[in-house]
Amino acid sequence: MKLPTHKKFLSATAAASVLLLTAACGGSEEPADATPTTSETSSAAVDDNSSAAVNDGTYEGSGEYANQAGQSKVKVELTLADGKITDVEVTPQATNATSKGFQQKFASGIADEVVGKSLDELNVSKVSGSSLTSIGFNQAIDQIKADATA
Amino acid sequence: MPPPDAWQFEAIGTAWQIDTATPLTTEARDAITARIESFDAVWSRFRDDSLVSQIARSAGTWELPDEADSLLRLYAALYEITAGAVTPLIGRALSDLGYDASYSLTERVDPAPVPSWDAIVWHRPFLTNLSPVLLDVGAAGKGLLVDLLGDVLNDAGTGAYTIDGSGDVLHQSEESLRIALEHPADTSRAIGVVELGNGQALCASATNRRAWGNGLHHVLDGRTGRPTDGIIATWVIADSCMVADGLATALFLAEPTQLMPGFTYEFVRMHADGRVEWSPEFPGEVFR
Repeated sequence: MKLPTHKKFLSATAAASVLLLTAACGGSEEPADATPTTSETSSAAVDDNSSAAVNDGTYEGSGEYANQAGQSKVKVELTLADGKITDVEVTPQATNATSKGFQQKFASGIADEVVGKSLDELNVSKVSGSSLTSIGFNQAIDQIKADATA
Repeated sequence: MPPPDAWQFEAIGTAWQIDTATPLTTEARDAITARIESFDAVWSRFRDDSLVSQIARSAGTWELPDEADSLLRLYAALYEITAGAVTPLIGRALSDLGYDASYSLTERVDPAPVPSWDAIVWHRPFLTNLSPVLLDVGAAGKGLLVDLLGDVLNDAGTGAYTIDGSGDVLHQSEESLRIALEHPADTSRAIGVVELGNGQALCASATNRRAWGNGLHHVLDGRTGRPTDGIIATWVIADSCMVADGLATALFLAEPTQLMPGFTYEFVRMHADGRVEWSPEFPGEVFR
């Protein structure tokens, strides 16, 4: 049997190289972006349909709306030129876009107080649950019970 | 139909069973035993000589085995999605709550706070910690080991098999496996059944059995260092036993929808009030 070799390269003096490692691998070890970007609502600039001057530029806002699936969120990006909208980009926020369809289908997948069936009624090969826990843990629990009743 | 050959053994402190069509060769069994030992020698926080125990004793940079990368990446993803609720840095807190190497099951008066992720730096294959930190990979480690044992069996040309590491099951067979979902409050009952297909893994987690003392159990919220409440049992099906294992823990701490963008999985989970939720494509039945 061959055990993997572990080398302890350096001790607490590693501060400098640790910082370098952080910078070097910060991107690769992170999962796909799961943090919705926060953005300020800029609806005032869009709602203004007449008098006040609207500065050209790109405006970003986010909105929430309720549907049968629950709350959904979108990011809206508007580009204004000469006071007119020249481009609109609507991006469903990643987590919510996924949850939308999911929650819709999901609605049926909830049941109150499931009592279940007796295992005797079922033709199964295995049982999956918590009854098989750590042997050491179970022994410790047994010991505590024994001590308590001694 | 009972499996033709079932090999039962104890390892890493729990019961295992490997079902195969024909008995495993001695070589294959030895390879399994060796793989478990090399895994345990790195990751067990229950043995003094493990690498994890060394990292808990001193700062340093440590070379980790190949499997560390997928495990730490999974943890990093779950850490981010759950804002720190799922973390491998709960070892000390878990130990201080009584779930320690000697199973004292006695809570310390002042349990350690949970360090944030930047207590470690992972740069494959090196992990660096500036101060001693006790890692606990209990959320996904056993699932990973099941996957690794699957690799061993594949390399040995085993054919169809089912590995069951006390609730972490990997099934490799054209014939699906029918498994009851044990009621967490009554082990003589099932809340449903699942049909586990070829190459699929099922992992279960429940807080009621591995529990002690005053509402203490083994699933901690990394944000508070305290045991979770609200969810009492979870089951997850995925193509990787490690992922299924990690998600089974994450579902105690996050909403299923939060985990949807990053992972492909099916699940069932039970709330403390007896309500049960499941994913729409869950390959089985919940007895409502």
